[in-house]
Amino acid sequence: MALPAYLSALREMILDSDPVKAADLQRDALARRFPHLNQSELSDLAEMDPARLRVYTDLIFAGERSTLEYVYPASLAVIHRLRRTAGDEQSHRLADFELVRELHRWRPWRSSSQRQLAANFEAFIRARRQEWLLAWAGLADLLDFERTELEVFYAADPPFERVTAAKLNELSNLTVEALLMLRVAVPSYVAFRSYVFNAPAFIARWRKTRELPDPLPIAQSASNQDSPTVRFVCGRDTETLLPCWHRQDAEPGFVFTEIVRDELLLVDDLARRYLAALPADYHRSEELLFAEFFERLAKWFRSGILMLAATSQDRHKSLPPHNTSGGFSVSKP
Amino acid sequence: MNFNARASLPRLGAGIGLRRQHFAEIIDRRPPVRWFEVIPENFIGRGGFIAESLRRIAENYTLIAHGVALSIGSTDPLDLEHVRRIRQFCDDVHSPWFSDHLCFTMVDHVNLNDLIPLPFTEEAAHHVAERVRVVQDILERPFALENVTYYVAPSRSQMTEAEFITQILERADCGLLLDVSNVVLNAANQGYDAEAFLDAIPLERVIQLHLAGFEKNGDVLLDTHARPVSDETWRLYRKVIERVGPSSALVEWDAEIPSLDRLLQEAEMAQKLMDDVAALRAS
Repeated sequence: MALPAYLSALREMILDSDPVKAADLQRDALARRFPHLNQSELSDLAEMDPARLRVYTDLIFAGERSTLEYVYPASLAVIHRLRRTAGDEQSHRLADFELVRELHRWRPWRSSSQRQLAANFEAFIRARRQEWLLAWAGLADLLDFERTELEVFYAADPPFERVTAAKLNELSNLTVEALLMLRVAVPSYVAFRSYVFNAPAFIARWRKTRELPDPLPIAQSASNQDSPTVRFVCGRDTETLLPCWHRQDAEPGFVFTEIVRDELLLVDDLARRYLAALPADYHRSEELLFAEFFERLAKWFRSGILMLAATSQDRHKSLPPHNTSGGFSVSKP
Repeated sequence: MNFNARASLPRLGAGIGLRRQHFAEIIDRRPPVRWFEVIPENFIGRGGFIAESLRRIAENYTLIAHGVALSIGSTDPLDLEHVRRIRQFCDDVHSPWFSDHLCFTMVDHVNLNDLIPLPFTEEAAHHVAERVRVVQDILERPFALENVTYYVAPSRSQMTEAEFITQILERADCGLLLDVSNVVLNAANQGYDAEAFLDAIPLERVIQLHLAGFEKNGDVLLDTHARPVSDETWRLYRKVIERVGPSSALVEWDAEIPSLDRLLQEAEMAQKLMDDVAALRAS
């Protein structure tokens, strides 16, 4: 008995076979492809009812389609629209099934990780469905948005403390000096993205109505360096633990991009980056500047973009001596 | 030797599968559920809402781990790192045993994303038993294999399904998660007698039961886990309980998942049948 050959043959018959072949033809093909199979094994495999084998084929590809639908519900809805617009009258279900089969032939799913199937799908679209990306340049960003959101949702917990509403209340009672001395980190799950259109707003609307806008919003080609992009950051809400997106070009500065994830820094460092990123003509009183900074700090904490060093880490890890004015010379309002 | 007695495993009564759709309700309402079955692959390496919900549910309920990705029958190397992560998960949720399916889900490093049956041969039985021993050594807790559905008849030139299962359990000295619905379904799809199948397998090794709904598609019954448990399955379940005594029985519902209350109704039915049989035995 050649168990490895038997299992491989069964896999190929389920996933890769051409439509039903007569038992004799199947047997000859199997014998050529898997010379280690003995006569009894060849007979067993060749005589398997093709209709029953097809049950597995259908279940497997339907399962993969379901996984993709879970990761990319809006992107698939857009793909359905693009197919229809291009004159494809096939049912969505059948077309998706064929799409998943083609994806499998192009790059099989090699682990049980949902993330790998998602990566394969995005690569497949880029390599084999360029016409969709050309038809609507927002599709690449939409695919990225949906996968990113799922990754943020599932990401392992970093070794830092979430700042809940109660904790934030405690922080708001600290002196400016004590606040600036707090150690914080941008956790590794936080995602920074630039999109050619407002993907979070698009998704929010789609989730509410389950209807796509007609026409789809204008999105420049992502490959065009001159096309305007919108910057976003995705964290995890500290109360619901669900992904939450913030549009970053509405901020006075994109202060986190150069911060190494999971690395501790002082709030003081953050304050300096914040002040440095403000436009030169941004004039405010010290009190107002600090109030604005604290408001943003609170927002970053609430959305899990920033977390506090856990107490034990605080005790064991020391940071170099630092002038902790954060650029502010005032007491907290 | 009686596997249950030797391993001193608890008999938990009827439980249900823990599904994300019900997390919030379970945490808020704390419904009376005897135990939940959890799929480690849905939790391992995940944080945030998933990890927090599991932590809170584990504070109040017994959790039993049931895997879907061990691919115990595959001829690819056993993923020992995966087994170690399962061990850690079982430790974390205090799962007294662990189970997975008697099948392969991946071969040639390609994921089939389904439970594909093995040929009923000496070679396959020997191969699986060896791998089960390795898994048990790492887990350091009882391990049970679940009988799966099969739509194609794998090689039966050497032994029957019942003989195949028996050989593996005895060679590997492991437990059996008896999926009663799968017995009903395989009996119908493959044309054998479900009760004769029960006669032929080592029921003393049963440490857990599964019950689920299936659907007819043409001439084949499909194990969809999207419907209530069928009357035929309830009848066979009662017969199993009469023979193995009170056990840990799980109602599985994985697609078109209904309300928590609907699931609990199914679990109560499983418990009632178990209680009825116990009462009859006592009298």
